[in-house]
Amino acid sequence: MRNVIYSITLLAFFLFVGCSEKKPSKLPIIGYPKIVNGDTIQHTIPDFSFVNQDSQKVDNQFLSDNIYIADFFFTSCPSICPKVKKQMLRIHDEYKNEDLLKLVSYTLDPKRDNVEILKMYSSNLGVDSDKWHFLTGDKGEIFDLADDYFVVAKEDPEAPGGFDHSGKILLVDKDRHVRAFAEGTDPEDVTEFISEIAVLIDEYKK
Amino acid sequence: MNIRSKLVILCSTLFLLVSCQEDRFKQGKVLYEFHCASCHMDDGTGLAQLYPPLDNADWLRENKTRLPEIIVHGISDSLVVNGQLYTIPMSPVYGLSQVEVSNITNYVLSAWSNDLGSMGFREVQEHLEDLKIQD
Repeated sequence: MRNVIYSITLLAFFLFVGCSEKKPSKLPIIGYPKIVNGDTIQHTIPDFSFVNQDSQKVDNQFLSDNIYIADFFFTSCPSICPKVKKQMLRIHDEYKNEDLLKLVSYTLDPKRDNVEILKMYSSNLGVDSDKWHFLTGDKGEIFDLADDYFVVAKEDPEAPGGFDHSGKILLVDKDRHVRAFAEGTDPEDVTEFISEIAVLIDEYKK
Repeated sequence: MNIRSKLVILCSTLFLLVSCQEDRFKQGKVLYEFHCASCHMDDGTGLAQLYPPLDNADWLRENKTRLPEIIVHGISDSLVVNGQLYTIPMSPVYGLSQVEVSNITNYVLSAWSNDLGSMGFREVQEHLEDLKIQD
């Protein structure tokens, strides 16, 4: 009996500690680190270079003074994209005047989503191309990059609209590390994500 | 029958009535969430100038009898909804029965802050049959 009471107390204690975990003061770096010659290398978004809705070249260098929110979508997507975009728009509105933060949406259907289509889409969304980049380019490179953002993306004629993909929204810091993510179809998850963005902004404003 | 059992019967009838009211368009809601909510959103607010709102939308108020037709055939006209221009065509929702179209229509007409009355199944059917004749 004593043992049982002891175990329950211990369990309750762990639960208490586990549940009382407050908002972290620093966000973790997401992904498996690699060990190269004894050095730990954190997961990093690789080099990329695409064009946005204004035909402006956007690459890592271009974004190096910013933290950014990334997602993958396509304009003719009949499934989850509009719901994810609604949440992206929420984040956009929340941090509209925070110049440190940009938004980047990669199209998974660059054949159809050219600069012109992306321009129309972004103006219908009512957003500024300086704040929110809609990127198009080489399809293979975009799909490879999705992998590095932990986004599942594949072409599938059976899927609605022809592409199967997850609706993740990711937060990337100035050093190209993914620091937080949310399910873009889940508004509550995004509420928490919005507060995590504030934590990262604080990290740079200190 | 004593007064107490009468009261119980009255209360349960009332309760049933109220709970049935809430679920009046249950199938419509499920179908709406499956076929329509991706673009028009679960709360009917739409998305910016890409997809028009269905909740509290002046265009819908004035054209509510066109709802079954739009669900079945889609729409490619540009629309001005609450002062905003929408130009992206809507594709038809394929594979729905007329009953299902009617259920979605009636759900939308009464969902959220909408209080646009209802359309009887016969009325929905007539509208859809009229279109077939025109084709």
